[in-house]
Parts: sequence; C-alpha cells; structure tokens
Amino acid sequence: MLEGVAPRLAVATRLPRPALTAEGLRQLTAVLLGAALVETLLLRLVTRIGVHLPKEGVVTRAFESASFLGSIAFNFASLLAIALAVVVLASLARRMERGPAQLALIGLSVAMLSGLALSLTTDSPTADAVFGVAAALLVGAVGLVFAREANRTFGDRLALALIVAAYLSYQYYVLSHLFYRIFDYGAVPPLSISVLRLGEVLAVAAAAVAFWAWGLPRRRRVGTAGLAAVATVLLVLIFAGLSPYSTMAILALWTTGLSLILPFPVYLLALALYLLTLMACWRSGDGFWTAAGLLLVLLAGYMPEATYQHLLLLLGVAFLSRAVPWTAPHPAATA
Amino acid sequence: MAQVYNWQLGREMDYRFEEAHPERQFAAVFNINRCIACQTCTMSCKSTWTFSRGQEFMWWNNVETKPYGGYPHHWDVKLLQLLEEANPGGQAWNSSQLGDRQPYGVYNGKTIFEAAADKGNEHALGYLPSDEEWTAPNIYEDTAMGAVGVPNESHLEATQLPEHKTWFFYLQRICNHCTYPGCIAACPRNAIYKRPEDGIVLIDQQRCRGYRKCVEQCPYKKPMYRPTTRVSEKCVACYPRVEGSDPLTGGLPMETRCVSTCIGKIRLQGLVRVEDGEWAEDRNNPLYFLTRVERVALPLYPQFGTEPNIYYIPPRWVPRPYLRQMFGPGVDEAIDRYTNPSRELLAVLQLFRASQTIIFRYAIEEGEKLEGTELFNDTAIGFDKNDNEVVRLSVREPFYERPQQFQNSI
Amino acid sequence: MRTSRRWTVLGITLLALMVAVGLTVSDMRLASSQTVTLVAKRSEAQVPADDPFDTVWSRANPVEVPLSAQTVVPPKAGGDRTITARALHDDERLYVLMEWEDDSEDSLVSSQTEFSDAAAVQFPVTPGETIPAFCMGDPNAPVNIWQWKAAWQTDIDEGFVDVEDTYPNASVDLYPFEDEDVFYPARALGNVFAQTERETPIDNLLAGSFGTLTQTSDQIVNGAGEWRDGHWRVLFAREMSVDGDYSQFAEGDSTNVAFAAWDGASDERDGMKSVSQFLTLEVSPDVAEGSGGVTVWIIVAVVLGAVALTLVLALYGRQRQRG
Repeated sequence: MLEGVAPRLAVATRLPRPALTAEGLRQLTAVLLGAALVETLLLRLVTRIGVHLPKEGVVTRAFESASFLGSIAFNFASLLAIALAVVVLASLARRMERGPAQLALIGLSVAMLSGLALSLTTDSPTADAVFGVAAALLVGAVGLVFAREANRTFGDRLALALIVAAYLSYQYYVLSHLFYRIFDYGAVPPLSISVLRLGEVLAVAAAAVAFWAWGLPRRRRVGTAGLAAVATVLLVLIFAGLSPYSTMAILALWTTGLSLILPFPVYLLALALYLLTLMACWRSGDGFWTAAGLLLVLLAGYMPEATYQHLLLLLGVAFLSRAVPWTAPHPAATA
Repeated sequence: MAQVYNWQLGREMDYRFEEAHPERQFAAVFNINRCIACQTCTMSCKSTWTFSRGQEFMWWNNVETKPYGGYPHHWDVKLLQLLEEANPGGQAWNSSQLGDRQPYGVYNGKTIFEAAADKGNEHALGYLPSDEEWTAPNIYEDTAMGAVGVPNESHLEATQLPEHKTWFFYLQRICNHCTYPGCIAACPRNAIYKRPEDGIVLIDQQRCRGYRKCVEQCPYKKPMYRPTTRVSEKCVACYPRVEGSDPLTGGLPMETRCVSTCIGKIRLQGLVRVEDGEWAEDRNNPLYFLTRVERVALPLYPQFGTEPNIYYIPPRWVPRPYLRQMFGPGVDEAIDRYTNPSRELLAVLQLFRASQTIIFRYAIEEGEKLEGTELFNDTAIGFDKNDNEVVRLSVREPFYERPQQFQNSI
Repeated sequence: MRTSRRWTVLGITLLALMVAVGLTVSDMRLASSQTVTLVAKRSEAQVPADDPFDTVWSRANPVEVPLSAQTVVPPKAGGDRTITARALHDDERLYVLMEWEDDSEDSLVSSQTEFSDAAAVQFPVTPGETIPAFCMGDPNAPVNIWQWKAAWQTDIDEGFVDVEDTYPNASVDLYPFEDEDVFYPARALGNVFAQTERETPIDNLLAGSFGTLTQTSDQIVNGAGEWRDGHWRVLFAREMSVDGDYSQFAEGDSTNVAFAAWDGASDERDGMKSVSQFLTLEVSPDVAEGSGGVTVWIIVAVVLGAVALTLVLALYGRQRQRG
C-alpha cells in the first residue's frame, strides 16, 4: 500500500520511505522499543534510584557507565522516535481523502514538528506551546477519531480513550500553566491539579481496561515465561515496597510519572495487569503492534517530561489505534 | 540489612549495619534480689547529668516496680504487644540444645528489627511515648500483683518459695549500651555511635536534629528528647569515669555513679574483653564469670534482639512464666544456681559495690568451712586495670563487737 | 529488493546510532523539557523578605505543583498535597514563595511528640541537563536545599520557645550552673537546633546524595513563614549571587527547582515528607506587572479552536477506501 502512493507531501518527500516496507518499519519499531527500554532502565530509573545508592569506587564507575550508555540510548531512541513519528503522520495523511481534514492533519503535523525543532533549538515558551498543543491534538485525533474507523471493538476504543484522556489531562495541566505564563496571566489555571489527579486515575483505569480488552482474550499466550517475568517485576516492587528501600520502589513508579495519590497496591495491581497484557500481546502473532503500543505508552509515562516522551506516546497511541495502515489488524501491505 | 550474630538469641539476626565490635564492652550485673528501691542510684544520676532545664522529666537511671510500674509508663508491655501483633503466637524459644554460642538455646520469634520489615524505612519496631507517659516515673511503686483476673483481691494466705502469689519486684534500669542498639539502627542522621574502646553508646549532640527516631525505636526507651536544646540525649554510662579521665578516678577506670552509690550493693559494673565479635573467655572477670560461666545473670528482654549489656540476677520469688518472658529461658537455671551457690559464686557475689574502681580480675583465697553450714569462708580479691589489688572481702562478714565503754558513742 | 531493504533498516539504525553517540559525547540530549516552568520576574516594587502575604506577590505568576505523599513509613502512598509556587527577583535577590494547605499550625517542638511543619526548596548547585529528572541522579551534581521550619519561625517571632511555654509548671526551683553552656551540650557544640538567638528561620543545606545532608556554616537564606486560615505561606529570599558552592542565579538563566513540605501533625520529619519532581525555574528579565483578564479569552479561543479542529477531523476525516 505504501508503495502505491506517490509522495505528495512535503514532509514525506524527505523520508527514506520508498525503501521501507511494513516489515522494515516493524523492525525499526522493535529497535526503538529496545533503545527506549534501555534508556528508561539505565537513565531514568537508575539515576533516580541511584540517588539512594552509596557512591563509592566501583559503584560510581558502574553508575557513570550506566548513565553514559543510557544517554546514548536516549539520543538514539529520540532520533528513531522523531523519524517514526514523521513516517506515521505521513502515512496517516496519505490514507485520508483530500479535504479540510487532511489539511488539518498535515497542518498539525507540521506545527508539531516545527514546534519540536524550535523547542530543541531555542528556549522559547511559544515553541513549547506549539509543540504541546499540536501533540495533544494529534494524540486526540489519532486515539479518538481514527481509532473509530479502524474496525476496533468497544473494549479497544475504551482502553485507548482512557489512555488518550489521561494524556490530555496531563497536557491540560502543563499547557494551561504554559499559556498563563506566555500571556502573563497572574493566576493559577482553573482545576489544573484536579484534572492532573483525574488523569492519574484514568491512567490506572486504562491498565485495567487494557487487560480486559487486549489481555484477557490472549491470556493463554502469556505463557510460563511471561508470567514469571511479570511476577518477578511485581515481587521486586512488592519486596522493595515493604523493605527499608521502599523509596526505591516508589521512585521506580515515579519514573512512569505517577505521583501515587491512590493506595500503593492499586498501582501494583494496575502495573501487573498492564504487564500481563503486554506479555500476552507480545507473544501472540497478531498482537505485535498492540504490544509495541502498550510498551511505548508505558515508557512515555503519565507525565512525559521531555519532547521525546511525548513522541513515544504519540507513536504508542497510533499503534494501538491501528489507524496507521501498516499496523492494521489484517495488514494487506505486508503481502 | 546485614546478618549479625546475637549470642543471647543463639542465632544470626537482621540488623541495619554489618557486625562490628568494640575492644571492650561496658557491662554490668544487677542483683534484683537485693534491691530495696531506695532510688539512691536514680538521684546520683540525676544530680550528675540531668539537673538542667529541659531535663526535668529525664531519668537516665530509674528503678520501677514490676509488674505494673514503668518509666515511661508500660514501656515493656507496649513493646511486647507490638511484637506479639507482628508475629502472633510465634515469639518462642527452643532451648532443647544449649551451647557456648547459644547458652539459652535458640530464639525462633522475631526481634524488633525483624518485625520492622513491613515498616518501610523504619529499622526497628517501636513507638514514641507521649508526654504523659514520661510523667510519674515511679508510678505503681510497691504495687503488688494480686489475684489474677480478680480486681482488688489479694492472696492473703501465707506464701513461700519458689513462687509467691502476691508479688512485686524492683527493676533497675539504665541504658543497656546494647551490642546492636535500636537507636543506632533508627537514626537517619548517623548521629549515634558506639565507642570502639568501651562500647558505650552516645548521641552526637552536634549532628542530632531532634527527629526522635531513636526515642521511637529504642525498645528500652532510654534516649529522651530535650525540648530546650531540641535534640535527644541519653545515658552516657558516666564515660569520664569509665575511661578514667575524671580527675576523681586517678586515671583508673571507675564505676558509674549509679553503680558506685548503690546502698544495697546490688550492682557490679565493668568492662569485658571482646575478641572476634564475642566476649573473650576471661573466667576471672567477675562479669564474665557471672553471665557466661555461672549464668546467674540474664539479659533484659533478650527477644528484642539488641543484645543488651546489663545483666540481671532474677528475683527468686516471682512466677517463672513472667520471669521467662522478661529474661528468657535461662531463668530457671539462674535461680537454681543463685539459690544454691557454688563456693566461687558465693565469693564473687561479695565483690558487688565493694570498690569504686572497676574490677578487671578477681582471685579467690580458699577459707575454712563455716561451722553449722555448708558454706566456706573464702576470700574474694578484686584487681584494677593495672592488676593492683583494690578490694578484699570474705564470705563471712567481719564481726566487730563494740567495747562496753563506747556503747553509746557515735 | 528485499535484501536492499534489510540493509536500509540496518543503515538507518547505524546512522542513528552514530549520530546518537556523537550527540552524547558532545554532552547534548535530543529532547527539550516540557515540564511546568516557574518564572521569577523582576519586581520593581520592593519585596519584603519578612512578609509572605505582601501585595507584591499578586504580580507574580503562580504555578501549581503536585506533591507526592510521604514515602518513608506506611501508608506510603495516597494523599494529594499540592503547593502553589511563585517567584520574583529584584536584580539582587531571588524570592521563592510556597503556599499550601495545612489544617493545623504546628510550630512548637516543646513536647516529646510535637513535630514542626516545615518546607523546603531544592536547586541543583550547577544547572545541567534540561530534563529535570536527571539532575539529582548525577553523583557529581550536588543540590542546595533551603529548609524553613515553623518552630524556628516561632523562635524569631516570639523569642526562643522552651518547655515552660507548653508546661508552665515544668520548671523546678533550682537549676545549678544555669548559665553554663556545657550543661546544654548541643548548644555548647554550636548545633543550630539548640540556638536561642536565631537570625533566620531557614537552614541552608547541601546534599550530594541520600544520607549526606550537611548543614553549611553559611546561614545566608532569609525569609519568613506565616499560617493564616488553613494556609501556610513561606517566603525564601537569598542574594542571587553568593560566595561558596551554592546554587547561583542570574537574570536570563534557567535552572531547576523542587519543593517539599512536612506536616508536623502527622509526625513528619526527616525523609518523611511530600516532595515534587523538578520543575524549570527561569529568572526572567521581564518586569512583573500582573495582568488583566483579557488573556482568559485568548485561552478560551485556543481551546475552542482546538475543539473545532478535532470536530473537523472527526466529521471529514473519512478513511480512504482500501485497495
């Protein structure tokens, strides 16, 4: 399908698209997932937990090496995420009929990418605002609108809607503050914290719904290895949560951007369901893109602090929605 | 969490820090049987260390009447309850196998450190006593145990050993200068330390920020918060006397104030040598002899797991289950040996409060059999740190008859 | 064809990896922080360091920051504390104002079980990466912490608070050697907690990592806290540029800031506290003027525009027929 469409879009012409098949994109996505996972573990998680480790001799050197490798993974993942975002947005635009909607999507994509470019090179809050608003609208469009048309079930849509709603809640908190700052309005944006807390509840709920929608039907695919992996993660967290190093467990959860307003076990349960779903999808032949989407959303976290995490989330939602042609449930493109 | 060996429990246990031991350990034996609760120890401590503003409620040394009394109120009952709740029904000993490294058997229950595992960043199970609990330090003085389960009822009939039905006893308490102190584990500032030369546990008054974690997590409740300086203070084991730097000592290690003022001669305090993490065999050190050879002196609530270093000769008349709860499974043997003392034990018991100078070694000179008894009039001789004789006492107290002409003179 | 495509994926991967290594070696990160920014604008009016309720603060731009529940002892999570932060500067000094809800004013530490309310701000000593989470992680990047304590504030406002203020009959008739510091050992050793004459309610601290919190000898942070109607407002003030290894500030610069609050009524002290993640702090050359309500309409317009755009996508965004 990709080969059949002429590169009409400005953004698309600069891509190495013609040489990439759906299989190629799948491989690139897998590379991105690996890099993002390494980055999260070595940089975000270790540096936070590292605050609580003794910093002497070997530990310091190990810590610094981990931090350096994590930084490489970060830049690598960020580059791949930008490239994949361009490909995803281009293919979305290409599959739409000409008209105001296509123009709007192209406009938003260009706005987001130029906001990103400006945000990376300048300190301008306007650049952040352009990027933030465009990212929010794109995630909303992909998750709420396109998903409607990709033959998705009610469960699919509900899980996706919760993920998108959580992201939009967080973006409301950040962007309302940003706009108040840009327009120099001397007040606290209305309901900003309430919406932020609501978003966290939605994020936790999304894990449960995702399990219901994607995990349960594939539960047999989790397998012993998958169960063991999830159990290990959980046991480590429970043990850490009960031990004198409980702060580490909490910091680990913070890495996903959750501020822990609900009781601790709720988060553990949500994480367990989410990871089980991820495992089930990963090990099912038809679930690669769902698994990839879930992992990207997890790595983006509830409170994405950097532009790169926003891109992970956009990609994650796009893969979960299956609106991108080469991720569709019955991919004609791979034929 | 590190694993450390606690000989009082006969096993390894969890502790926040790796095992580390001083060269010598401050230790004492208190003979409960002889105490009359005159509180001279309490007042000598008070007038030495805690007479200033903000210390009004502080009694680093106190003597409380058991079973009801306690300073702070019910400190031990509360601790035992917390432990029981953490490990219901599991706080038991297995004393079927005894040995040098486990003289009381093996404790299978949980220590305050092990029971704190679900307490997050807290390192020991504990609680913070309220202001009210620190008041009335001698509450329930001389209040005896009555009929169990019947209010205001006592046993009025005559009673005799081994177990009195109406009973109380005095418990003398100072900081235990534990081998594995709860306060040191608790302190997030690392402001509490155990001195390498004598094992005395001190709070660094410069580093302390008054968080009161030590007050909360010391099971014996001996660190106390001083509102006037906003930091916590505790019993200092009269360290200038113990290290011999007090001018009064003449450079020789000297017993603490509470020990040296004891009228009832119930206290003996000194330093035991530590080698490879254990009390070095030192048979002629009176403390070593009493606790490790004769085993008449027992730790207070060993199940807390801090390996306290004040040892008690348990009172003979108190119901054994109560004593076993308080001093562990060694109670029966200790009371038997104290009731029918060996020749050597009887001689060593004479050394209590005989000299202000710390006795590092004793020797026995055998004497003749006392007429009409099974006892021998042996002589116990105490030596100071430099092995000079400081005291000499016989089992039979010297008897002096005042001449007629001095009958009424002072 | 297939083979060449496989090489394409490998080529892209290798190229990206090389660029990533290059960026990392030159100490760059291909991302920019999107967290909330606290802006310290220049105040032309004087900012009194002893009055957190001064009207000048209506000109500062507030941000709301979620705090975690204290995470040290159970219950470790649950709880939804929020602080409102504002900042100003006057070319010489930086001012940071924290405001949060607290039902009880816990400003005494005279009893065994009383703990003081407290608040703290934390800055990296050297502003580094733009992504806040990484700042604290670097073992070579210490943080400068300013901690305000309600009990110290009471000492300043009402004179040193002692046991008698809580228990008037606590004192006994005679205190020998009452004036000799040695009988107040913490005071004799210069422990700041035991001081009776305080100049500031704020402790200036440095920390390299967990458990290394150290009180500095330079008590150079001023400020004041006041509890009114269920709210604490605490003001921190310090010269923007000072001697010593502390955080330095300059107009036009950005750094990071994190917040913490302690509730004395919940026995919070030490690591038992609520904390925020790092925010961006920008010391702006703009003048703080306060502003009108016109901007609200701009925001409403933006939100409406966004909704309209979404609707357009929803209504016209029909998928092209597959084929």
